[in-house]
Amino acid sequence: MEAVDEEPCYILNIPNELQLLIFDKMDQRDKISFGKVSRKCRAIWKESRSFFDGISWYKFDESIEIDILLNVMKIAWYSAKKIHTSDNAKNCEHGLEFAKWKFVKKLEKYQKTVKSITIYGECSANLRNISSFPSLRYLILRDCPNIVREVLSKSGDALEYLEIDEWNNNYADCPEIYRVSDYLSINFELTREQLFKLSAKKIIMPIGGLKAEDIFEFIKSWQNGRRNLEYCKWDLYFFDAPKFFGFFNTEVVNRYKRIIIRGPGETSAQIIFRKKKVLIFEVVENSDVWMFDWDVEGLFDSDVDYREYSYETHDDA
Amino acid sequence: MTDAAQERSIKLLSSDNETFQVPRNVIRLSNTINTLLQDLGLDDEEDAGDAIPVQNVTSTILKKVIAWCQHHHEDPVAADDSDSREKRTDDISSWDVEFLKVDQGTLFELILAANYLDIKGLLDVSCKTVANMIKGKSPEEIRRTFNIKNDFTPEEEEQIRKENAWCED
Repeated sequence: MEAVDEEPCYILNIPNELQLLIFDKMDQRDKISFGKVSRKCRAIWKESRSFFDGISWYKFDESIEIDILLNVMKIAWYSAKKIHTSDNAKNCEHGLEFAKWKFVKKLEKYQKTVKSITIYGECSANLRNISSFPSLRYLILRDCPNIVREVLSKSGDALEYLEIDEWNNNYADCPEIYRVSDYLSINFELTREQLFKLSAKKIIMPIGGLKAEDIFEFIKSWQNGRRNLEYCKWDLYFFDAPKFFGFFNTEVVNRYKRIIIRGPGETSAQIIFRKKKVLIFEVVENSDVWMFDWDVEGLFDSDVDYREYSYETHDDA
Repeated sequence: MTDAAQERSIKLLSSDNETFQVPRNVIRLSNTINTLLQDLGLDDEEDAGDAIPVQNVTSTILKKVIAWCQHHHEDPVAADDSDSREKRTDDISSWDVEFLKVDQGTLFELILAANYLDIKGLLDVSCKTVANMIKGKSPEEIRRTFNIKNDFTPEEEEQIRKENAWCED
């Protein structure tokens, strides 16, 4: 205590911009420790992460769940993408860096028990440091091509739910795709043979490269005992469906509770199916737009279940 | 800058009136001096002329700054884009580590001088050194290291504990 009074405190007596410069060199753990040292240190800490001012991140307490954190990451990522040309971009990057660090910290802690992970963009490059997720059942990978294979390979037993929303790569060679048991959403094409290897009961996929008769045979296989007949009432979702307008005739349509069409040109598909009293889940011209049109603020609310939003709600759209 | 200009010397005057003769190609690492010389057209003059006053820097610190520039004068000029600067702190050269083994007063004086003279490399490495002094320390250890007084009230400490609980192990 005597030393505190007698010795000068150099670090807090240099200009603020230099304090921030030093602070910027610290890693996240040290930044947190530094923020607990004194009022001035805490002010530096908060000032350096002004991105979070708008969402009052520090109101979180120990009850924070991974999903909430992931939504913080999502906001950071979307915000950074949206305003990447503005002066605030750097602050968003800071926020993103922090969220990424927290995401990994949380995952390290819950690695053995975490059941659901949503990954956006480059937020989770550090996932490479995590060995495996033995309890993982729900996995959503959005726009993160560099880690899709690694994360898939780190999932434990078969996933129940998998979305891969990455447009530029084909992951048909990943065995995990074929072990998904419930819901599979992919945006790369499969061959006929690959299609028949799928185990998922609900599927979203592009079908532009498949023949109509292959699709029809695939559907029939559900009805003919290859899978439980019960599956006939399950949903069938296809991307890139316009060429199959003729295929989705009354006979096919009537078998399904819902048929979901996404991809270019479905405005007319919507009309066709509405005439047949089939519920249309989502009709958009471009899936990228769809992603960015999401109500990010709303998703940040803790009572919104992202997965539910994805495929269970909006029945009456 | 012409070859002739590169070979000449510049005189710098510290805040305590000590004059230092510095090769032009050494002091080029200071953007402040560079700009001054160019704006005043002094780069083209053969005579070193009057000493340039470096008002905010003492002779002790200016001597060290010049020594750092002397060692690094062949380094490429750092990019001006701060976003592109390396954020690692474990890449300090052994020479710089030894050079910055100084008391805290000197270290922070060097930071101030590097900032004033706009010597990006020196500013970067000296700030990294301070960041490394914080690395792995608890708040109390940081207080002791930098002589910072804990001015939180018990209520504020409790608030901080609550605010930070979610990101603790």
